[in-house]
Amino acid sequence: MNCQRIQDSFIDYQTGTLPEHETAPIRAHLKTCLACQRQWADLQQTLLTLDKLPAPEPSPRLRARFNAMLDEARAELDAPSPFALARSRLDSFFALLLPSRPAVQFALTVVLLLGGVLAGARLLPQPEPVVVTQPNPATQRELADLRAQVESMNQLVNTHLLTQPANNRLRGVLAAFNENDANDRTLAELLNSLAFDPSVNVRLTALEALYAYVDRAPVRAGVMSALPRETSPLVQVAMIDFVVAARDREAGPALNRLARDPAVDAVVREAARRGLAQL
Amino acid sequence: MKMKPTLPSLLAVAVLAFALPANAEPVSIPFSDANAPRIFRAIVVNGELSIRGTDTDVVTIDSDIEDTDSRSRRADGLRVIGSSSTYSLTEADNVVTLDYGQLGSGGHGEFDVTLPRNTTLELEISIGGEMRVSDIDGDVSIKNLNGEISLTNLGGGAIIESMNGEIEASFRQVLPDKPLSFTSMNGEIKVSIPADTSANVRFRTQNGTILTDFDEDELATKTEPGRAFSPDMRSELSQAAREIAQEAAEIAREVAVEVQAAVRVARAERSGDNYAPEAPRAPRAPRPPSIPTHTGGKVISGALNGGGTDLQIATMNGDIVLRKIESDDD
Repeated sequence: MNCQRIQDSFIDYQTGTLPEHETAPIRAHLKTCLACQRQWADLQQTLLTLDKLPAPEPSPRLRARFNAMLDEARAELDAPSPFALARSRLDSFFALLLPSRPAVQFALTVVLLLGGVLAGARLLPQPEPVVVTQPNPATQRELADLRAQVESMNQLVNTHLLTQPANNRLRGVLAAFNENDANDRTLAELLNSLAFDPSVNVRLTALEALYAYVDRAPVRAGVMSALPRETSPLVQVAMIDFVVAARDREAGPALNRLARDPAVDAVVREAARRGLAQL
Repeated sequence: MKMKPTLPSLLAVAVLAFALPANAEPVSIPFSDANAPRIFRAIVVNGELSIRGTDTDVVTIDSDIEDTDSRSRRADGLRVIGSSSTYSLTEADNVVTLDYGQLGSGGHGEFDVTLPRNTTLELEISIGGEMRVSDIDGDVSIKNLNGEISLTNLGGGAIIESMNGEIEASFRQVLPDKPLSFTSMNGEIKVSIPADTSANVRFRTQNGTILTDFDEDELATKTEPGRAFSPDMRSELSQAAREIAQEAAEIAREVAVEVQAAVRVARAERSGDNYAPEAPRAPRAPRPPSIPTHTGGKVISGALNGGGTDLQIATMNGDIVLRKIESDDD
């Protein structure tokens, strides 16, 4: 048994909570070990000093504070706030109305539930038999309009680039070319062809068709955004002509990039430089 | 005149057998529906294509490359599903597809194809190779990266795109709803059309010359204003105004003609004549302006014999030549 362990058990030994088989070794050790005897003596001295300390008295103000608190509580009870009053009234009202015994409460709940179910079954409207009627003329007109819209959407999808052979796509673009006043949808189709059609011929024709509407800002913006992605030098040069003819100053940075890009065809770079000189 | 399908293809095969040192037997494949539109698609990565239209119902391919049919078995019981040098010929939904080079690497392949006259063609050659097409009435769409394109006696629409190679095309007929469009980066484009063709022409070239042997009264062109430097806004505006006035005058004239015709018909009806009214001709829509060039190229647009089919030719470094074919029975 080493001294540290003995000293750790002093407190338990003092309070008498140490088990019997451990107290004997401690007593034996204490008889022989000087260090532990000194520790024991220190412990006893500390405990004696602690016992001698006076108990702290409450201050005189404590009593005054306590009495004030008591007076407040009593005042509240005598003159309650309106909210508390209403609550207490409600509580007492319901307490009078409803039984307080749990069994009766449960039975009432079940009765309510069953009553609700029965009442609903009786009161809810029966589902009417389905009657197939002809839609009135207004609805029919709406249906026809919707069908026309779906049809035009179908056509839009059918002119989708990858489903049509090149000659049909070119014919579609040329049809837009010959329209005198293209609506937004036609312009959107033309811009789509310009940006995404796999055939150089179709893209070039789309660009020429769009030139008739060069005064419209969305058309100019569409051509501008397709310019950096265009790969065919023929179409690139035509686009440069387009933006220069449109006097589109915002094309300046894009033309500048084209003029400096070494991957771009030399003729296109020269065209971009000439175009920049005029913007 | 429609001969039995077997005889002409046999003849074609016989001719080809003499013409080409064919290592493989010619392969024929029919279209599933002879009455529905027929499409022939060819993607050749490295090779030459020679296509001829005849009175036949099947597509016949004669080539010095072996055809692979991944469904058939060889004598030793094995199927070839990936070969070093082979092409594939398949048919689905009336589309016959010839695929050479995409299956794997292969050398230069030559293909001689015979097919029905009104087949629609979609042809693509990547490397090498001439492309020759003749006697086709269907629409033709060609993309050839490095090689000459030679079209003879065509009768339908055409979209031809070439990177480095001449394009030579001659048409037997040019129909109103079959537009023609040719683009080439480095190469001459020579187009020959019948002398009485009506067309709206649009020519565009960056570094080339535009030539024609049509007379000035047949082919009325105007050169779009193209300046390399300092445009004059005012002169452009006045030119545009002049063009608009011209178009308006033309439309007014045509409307007046229609009105006269209508008055004539009304008068004849009132007097009880058996006057057969002539069908009113729809007034021609004003031609939209072409993009003027400010970068040194030349843009010419015009009307041939009054205008009609759309004919577009655009090159970068190459001449444009438009020739007329005088009809033989004049």
